[in-house]
Amino acid sequence: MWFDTLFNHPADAYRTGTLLFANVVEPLWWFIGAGIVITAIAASVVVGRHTQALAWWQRTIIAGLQAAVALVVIGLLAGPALQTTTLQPGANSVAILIDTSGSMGFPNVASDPGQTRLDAAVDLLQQHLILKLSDLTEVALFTFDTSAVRRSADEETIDGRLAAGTETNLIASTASVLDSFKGAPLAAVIVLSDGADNGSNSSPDMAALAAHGVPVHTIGFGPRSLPGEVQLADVQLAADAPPASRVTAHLVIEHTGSGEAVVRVRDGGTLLAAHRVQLRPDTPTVRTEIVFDSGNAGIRELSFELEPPPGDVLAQNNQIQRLLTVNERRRRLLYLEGEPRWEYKFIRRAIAGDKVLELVSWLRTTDRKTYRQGVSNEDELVSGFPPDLQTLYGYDVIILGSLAATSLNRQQHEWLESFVAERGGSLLALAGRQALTDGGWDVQPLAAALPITLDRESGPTYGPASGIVRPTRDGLVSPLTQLADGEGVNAWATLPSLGDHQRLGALKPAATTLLELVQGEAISPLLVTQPYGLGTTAVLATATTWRWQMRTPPDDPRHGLFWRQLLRQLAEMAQRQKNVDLANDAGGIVVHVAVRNKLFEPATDVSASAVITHPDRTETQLSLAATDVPGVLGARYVPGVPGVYRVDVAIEDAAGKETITRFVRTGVANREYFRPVQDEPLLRRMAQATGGRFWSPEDVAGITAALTFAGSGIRAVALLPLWNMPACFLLLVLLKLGEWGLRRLWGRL
Amino acid sequence: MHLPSFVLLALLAHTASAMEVNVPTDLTLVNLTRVEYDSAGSEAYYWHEGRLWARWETDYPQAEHNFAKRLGELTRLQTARVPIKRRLTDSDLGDFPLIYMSDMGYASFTPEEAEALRAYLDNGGFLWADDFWGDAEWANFERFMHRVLPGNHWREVPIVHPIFHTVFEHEEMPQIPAENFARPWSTTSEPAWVHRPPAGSLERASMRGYFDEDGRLMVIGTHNTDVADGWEREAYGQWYFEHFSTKSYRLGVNVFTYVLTH
Repeated sequence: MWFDTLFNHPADAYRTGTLLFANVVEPLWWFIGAGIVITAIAASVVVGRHTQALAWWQRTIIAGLQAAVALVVIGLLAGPALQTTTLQPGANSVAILIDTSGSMGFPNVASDPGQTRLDAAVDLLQQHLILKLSDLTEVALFTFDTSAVRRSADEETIDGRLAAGTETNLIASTASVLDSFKGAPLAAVIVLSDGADNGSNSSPDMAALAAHGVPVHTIGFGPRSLPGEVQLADVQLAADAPPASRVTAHLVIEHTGSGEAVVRVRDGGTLLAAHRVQLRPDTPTVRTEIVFDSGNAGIRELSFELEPPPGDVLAQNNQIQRLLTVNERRRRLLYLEGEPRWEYKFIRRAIAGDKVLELVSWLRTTDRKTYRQGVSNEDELVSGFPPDLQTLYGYDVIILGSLAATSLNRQQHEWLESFVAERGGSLLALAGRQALTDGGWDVQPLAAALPITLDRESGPTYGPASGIVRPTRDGLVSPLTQLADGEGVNAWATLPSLGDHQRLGALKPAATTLLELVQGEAISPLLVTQPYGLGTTAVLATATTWRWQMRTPPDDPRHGLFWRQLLRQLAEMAQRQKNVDLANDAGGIVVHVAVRNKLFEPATDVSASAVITHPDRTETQLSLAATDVPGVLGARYVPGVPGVYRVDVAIEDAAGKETITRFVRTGVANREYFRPVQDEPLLRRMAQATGGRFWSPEDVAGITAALTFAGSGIRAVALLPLWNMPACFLLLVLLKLGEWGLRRLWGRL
Repeated sequence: MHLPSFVLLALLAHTASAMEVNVPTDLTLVNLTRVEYDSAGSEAYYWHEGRLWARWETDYPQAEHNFAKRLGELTRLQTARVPIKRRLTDSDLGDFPLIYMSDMGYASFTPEEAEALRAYLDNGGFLWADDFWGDAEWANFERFMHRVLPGNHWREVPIVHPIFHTVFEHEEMPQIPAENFARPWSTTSEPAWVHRPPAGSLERASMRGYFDEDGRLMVIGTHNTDVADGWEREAYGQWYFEHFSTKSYRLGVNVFTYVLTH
């Protein structure tokens, strides 16, 4: 307000306008004239009789003040003015979007639970915005949560303070309003919101918003923090898992409190796992993991629950539901071993009878003889290594034992590398006399894929050793290395020590160490893994895990658990020939099918259809159409009622017909309870990206000026005179008062 | 022949110290492991080649020495050349997933030993009992196994079983007599009078097995044959080597390979 009084016009006029001098026709002459006048005044002061008694610096100050007065007067005589544009009154619209999602029903300030954010927003709208803006433009009012809806100002949905939306598509709703005004003169969009953008159709695409060229002004409601609030912000979990395997879920807890929280995962009413998490004030975001058993084949409706420490504000954001499909699709493993040894026996024994893993092994018993086990027919591996790439790609995991590199030819070595890189399979290299560097693998293509460097050394890297196994921080939570419920490090610490070790080269940048071997003070990597191409490689620097079976009581399951878990997860990580992905967004259930041929190239001649079974057991047929991506088909289905939908996708390609079943839950829980504070940064980003401004309700008075002088719509050029602004006259008075004061001080009035 | 007990102890101490090789066990290798056990009665020890032998040490350690070397030559097994001996109750028995026993016709086991062997077998360990001749010696072993695996009964391992075909093809179970009973003009069985009565028929060699719930062999008893003698006596003559040692090695290779793969 003071700015407008002093300078005659709002700051926005200066921000957007261009300064010009209306009376100046020939600027050069003006500069010369002004220079002469100012020089003359200054000279008369410096050399004049009346100032001879002053010191030279005192004369200089007086001369400067008089010259400044002359400069201001000359400037005013030049006719200063601002050239800007202003809204053409009555010719434009302003769209006001008011957020009516559930979170707007929360208290606007923590200290006053009686006034909701929507109350505050509607009050601001009705008592200020509409009154101010209606003189300037036509006001188009919208409410939004999932999507924007046009309203009249007196509708109950606004005045009745109903904040009922279960999710908010803030940016998408704003974009849709902008779209609806395409071609119409829209001066600006004003969004009254707490900034929650949690909808399934939420989009961070600010650039698309900015492309409309209309400034979006945002006004934020709600507290910026809720002391003591704890919420389970996210749970990340694989869509499916093999039966009876250990599954790791990654949880994100956001909080402004402190104390001990407990996270639990339940299947229906059955508690699957629980563990404690310490919340500290200096870590507002805590990432933790919970490991549980996948159980038998079928669908798991999992509930992840957070029991917060005392002081939590909202209880509704402490639970998240997830689905887990447990399927028994067989995974084929190929184990190539160069010598009969105990590790081979006990790996086979550990996964014997497993419902998921199908271990096919090829063992060199003598220099000229091999022994095959687990083959599906008489021809499998009859000539040793798989005869062609297609057969090799039929396996999900390859285990390399103590097999000299010279056992394979050049092409077979290249196939092994491409098995990981292109087929996306998993490869596990075990320790042994003929493994890794000792076996000559350092000069083979596979060396590039392994997570460690294979450096030729003068002596053997493999030999007897004694040490215990310890999981790293990554190993404790990795699905590859899970031994038992809640035991963590203890489950490993009580295992018998190993009897051998292979010294590994340096870890590659993408490598992750999951297990370490502790030999006194020395710690060496034991199980290291890394992604490579489309697949995964791992190195286990021991071949005496069989001691975990033979040196523990017969009912100790850890050896079997270790191997089943490791191999199942490696198999899970391998790319599949046929993939079905389900997503649930505002547009419905999206079904995507990706099909590859036996060489794992995108399949060309593919058709797919789906049967969607509704929660009430009725079925809907759905045809999938090819997409722009080769080998990918897709379709969308809009479900009627919320619930769990079963989707059976039948895929037909050159290899035959296969049906894959997936589940998806629609009608997600109320997202409004999550992140219940004002997201001011998002509101600021929206405003900045579009040329608008973020306002707090307290300083929103200036929004009219901001709309008048800046924005889009039909606008008129305006020339705003500045010569009469009080600030100039105040300046002249101050200059003369200053001179008078100095002269009086120096006794030379 | 009965000897005073102090004489026996002195002789045993001498023989044991002469054979004991105290080296750290290399678990990266396959260790040939002989089980040391007690035998009961007057036949618990016997005099042979100038010294007194306990029953458990029959053919030990020369048989293991020779067999370890041959395993390394004939197969890709990496074997320790120094054999190991352990009692069933030794705490590190689990480090040796295949254990070998010989001459168990007079063996006597404590309940602790039976319990230890049960746990060992439950964990996946494998027992090869060899050098039984006749019915009485087998019956002694069978009684012990009844204590170890109650309710589990031996079955003859048929010649089509993979154990006879892992590396070498066997068409019949070989009968290997001790070298001093092997004669070109005689049968391959040992005489009944040198074995525990009532011996019954000693003519037919067989492999008898105890299987686990998944059908895997846990224990084999090579009956009416002395496979380890074929290993021990390989250098006692060309005729014995060609006729018996080669068969012993072929069967030994198959048994070890089978155990290492199942």
